[in-house]
Amino acid sequence: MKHKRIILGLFAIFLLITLMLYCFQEYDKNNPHIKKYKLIFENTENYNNIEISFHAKIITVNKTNQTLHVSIQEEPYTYPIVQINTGNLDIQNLKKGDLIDIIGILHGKNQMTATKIWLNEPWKTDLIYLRSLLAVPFVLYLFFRTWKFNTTAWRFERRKKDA
Amino acid sequence: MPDWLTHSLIGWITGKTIKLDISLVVIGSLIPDISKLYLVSAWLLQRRTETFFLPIHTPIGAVLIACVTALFFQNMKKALIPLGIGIATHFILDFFLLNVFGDPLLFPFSWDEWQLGLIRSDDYTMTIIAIVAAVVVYFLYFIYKKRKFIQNKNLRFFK
Repeated sequence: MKHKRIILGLFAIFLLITLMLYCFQEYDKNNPHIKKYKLIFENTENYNNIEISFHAKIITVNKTNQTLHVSIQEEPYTYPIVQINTGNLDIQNLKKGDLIDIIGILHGKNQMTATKIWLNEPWKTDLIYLRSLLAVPFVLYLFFRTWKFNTTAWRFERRKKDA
Repeated sequence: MPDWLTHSLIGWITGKTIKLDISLVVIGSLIPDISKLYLVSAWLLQRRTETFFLPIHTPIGAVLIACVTALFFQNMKKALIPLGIGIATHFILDFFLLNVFGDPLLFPFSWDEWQLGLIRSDDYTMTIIAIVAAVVVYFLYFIYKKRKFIQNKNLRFFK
């Protein structure tokens, strides 16, 4: 029985590592978004009026003309710099170096009109990690209230009051 | 991703509602986020390792981890069910997110990525809703238990 468990465990780990290596090797070639971006930015003239979305870093902000120059922060990081016409969107709080998410319509060579822009504020990202840290004691308490680890049998056993 | 607090609270509510092992449902709800180990490995190795850990954040990868986890319990099948339900709650929550990319739910059979695009991952509205829902469920369960206790007491009295 114990051997069966070990074999099952090793098999599951082997499968998982195989999947991880496969993904690591093949991701750039197969990811539909990366494939789409590569195709679009290598032949921009063929992809007019197409909706795209990406994560980008602001290089320059022109608040009078309502335009941005951004570098696309997506793998493989070799995309050209894109000029974005922000139209009526509020860009007053945007500045050089900000990380943003954009949805827009691509038209012409490396030019697009943004329909939505979200500013990725660092404090909001930090707050995700802070909220996640709060969960750690909660989860550990829940788990070890019900289970204890038997070091000789290498197994979790129910605590007596729950048995 | 919604934060771990949201995931664990939704796991807790699910476990409490369907009367399965709550602790294992909660553990299951966090299994896909083991993929966040890429943050540590990227810092240690100074290179991008996100794509290496990505399969853990897919249903098949998460279930494989749940299988390995279940081996450490007396009754593997009994442990695997709540872990699997926890994993399902994780992917349901992540499905509501708005990311530039979605989740490759059918990996390794398909590389396509899906999401509903309703909530941004840095939006804490989801956390607040989860906290309120958990408090409501806790009190409803508390009232239900109290009523049941009084009913049983009355029954014993009349016997």
